[in-house]
Amino acid sequence: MSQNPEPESRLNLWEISVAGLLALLGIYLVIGGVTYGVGTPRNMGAGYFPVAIGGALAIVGLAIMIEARRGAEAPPRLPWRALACVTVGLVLFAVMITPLGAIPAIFFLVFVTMIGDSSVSWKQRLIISATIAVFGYVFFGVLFRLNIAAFW
Amino acid sequence: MTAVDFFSHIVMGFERALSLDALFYCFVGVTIGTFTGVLPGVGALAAVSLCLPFTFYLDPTLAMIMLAGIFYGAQYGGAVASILVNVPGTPTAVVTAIDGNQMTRNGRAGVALFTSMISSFTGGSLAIIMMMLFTPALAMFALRFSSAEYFMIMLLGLVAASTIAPGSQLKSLAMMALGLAIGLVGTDLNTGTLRFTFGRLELTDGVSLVSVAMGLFGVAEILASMGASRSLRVDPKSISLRTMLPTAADLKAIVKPVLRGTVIGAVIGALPGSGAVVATFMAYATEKRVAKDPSRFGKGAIEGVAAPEAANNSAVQAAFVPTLSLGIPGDALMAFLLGAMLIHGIVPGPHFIMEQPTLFWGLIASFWIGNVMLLVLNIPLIGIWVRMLSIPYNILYPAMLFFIGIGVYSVHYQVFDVFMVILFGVVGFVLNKTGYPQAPLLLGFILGPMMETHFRRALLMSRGHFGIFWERPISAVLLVCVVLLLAWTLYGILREHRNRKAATEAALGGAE
Repeated sequence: MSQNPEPESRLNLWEISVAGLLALLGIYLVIGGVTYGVGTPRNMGAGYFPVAIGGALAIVGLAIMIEARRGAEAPPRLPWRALACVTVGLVLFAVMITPLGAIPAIFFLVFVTMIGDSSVSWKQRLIISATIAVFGYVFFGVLFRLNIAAFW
Repeated sequence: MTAVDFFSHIVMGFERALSLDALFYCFVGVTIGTFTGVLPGVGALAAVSLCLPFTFYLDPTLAMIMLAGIFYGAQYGGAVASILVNVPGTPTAVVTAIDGNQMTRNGRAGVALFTSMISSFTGGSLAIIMMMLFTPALAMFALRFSSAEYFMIMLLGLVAASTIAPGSQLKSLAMMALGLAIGLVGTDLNTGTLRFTFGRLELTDGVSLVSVAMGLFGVAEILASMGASRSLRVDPKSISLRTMLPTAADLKAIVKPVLRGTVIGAVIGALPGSGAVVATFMAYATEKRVAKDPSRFGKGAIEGVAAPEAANNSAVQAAFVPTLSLGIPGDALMAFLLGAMLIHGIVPGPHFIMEQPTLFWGLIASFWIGNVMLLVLNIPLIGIWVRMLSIPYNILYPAMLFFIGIGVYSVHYQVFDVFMVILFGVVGFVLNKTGYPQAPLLLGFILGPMMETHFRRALLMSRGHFGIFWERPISAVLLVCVVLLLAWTLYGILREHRNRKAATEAALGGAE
């Protein structure tokens, strides 16, 4: 206990903000539901269920904020580099697939994502991405006859 | 239904399942299933999500045969890594690792593998027989259900799934509500109002199951595998068919545990919310309790492999009972399969069995054929799967990434779906790291729209009177269950809170 005299005294900001966002989303659903029209139980409007679900989400979110507001646990260690690379890789895939075709899109998807993995070398990244792009296209584009173009 | 009908339906089912195309897709399914089961870090849910888009080109029966095959095939494969390297391939093989890996250390790896496969097969087969008997019976019973009962069963399923699951129950409930909220997006079927579509045309039909499941389970597993480049090396020569053969004493020792495991699995599997993982833990605990010498457990007791493996396969098959007869899934995986059926235009429920007997009985017959295939795949060909364990992760996750990209894009050939995967993947991963489980979200997302329909219909029937939920006896019983579960959860949270407070005060007092 000497190195950490008051383990529960810290505000758990991470937990509070995540739960708070969920609660806010709940409130947003309630407001949205009200604008869609709640109606009566006998003749429900489009907003009846959203209001109920939003209310539940807001209550549970608030309850988590109260329950987890203090704690000794540190916020989770997120793999930021991997997260960023997966996101960028998928975004590149999304913007490239229609104008540039499947092979470049898959290549950049895999290549950029693998930058997030520090355990592989640049050469490995290059070889793996190129192999998956070519074989993947041959398998699904040619054998499965998916409606995707290899190149632009 | 008369006995003659029953048997003619079974014959019809086997005819369908034994046709060449059905056999082929069954084989593909169970092979992919074993593969994902063997490899730690690729879950069954990720595997079925990745394969779903490619089944859209198939006949619905074939698609379901294949997807279901992945699901129960994973249960067989899951034990391999548990036994050989003490890394469970699937959550349902966690318990198997306790005694299974000890058996490997005692030089009995082959026998442990054989035990797990034969127990899986027995558990699975017995559960399929129970399924054949109970599913139609439950469907007949369910014909009397009105929307009030359906709404209540779904509510019970959701609440049970979020409160029985390990971890923070409040967080599970929050994810369930979030899933329900995502299910709201799209056109409201009763009024035609566009809800929460943010003006996007792509959202008028709602958020697609493929993007939710791939984001939540596919992207999350890729993120988890990245950098985790562990290599699991096992000498494949150490496992030969000869070392797998059990002694007569071994076989005698596993008969009763397998039967007990099967029963536990079947009961737990058919109940909403609990699922196969709970069944394996209960089967293990039961064996420990009935054993003459409980101290053997944890040191390589063969019963500790047999019972949980029988239980998880039995549970997985039994979980199809409520899904197919009522149209109500008990856990996230079943919810996913239900969602897949809906996409294929199949609406499971009491009418499904009567109106589409070929599909229903064909699917069930394929389960049994799939189990036989799995036995062949896993006992004589075990060496192949052992070699698979050494596939490096940094080849595996790029391949999964490719499946996600092409799979989600090829559904509607629209880029928007890829962005949805990114959204669900990143948000789901961050939430999961914060202790919010993904499974209740998927369950809520799939059940939400059905719950809304039944809720509306029930209240329309009662002219807006909420009494309908407690005036009808079955609905009332279900309502009591929901209330009890919620009360028990609340009590648990409050008690834990008090204990923690007391513990902190005691610790602080001690420090002073």
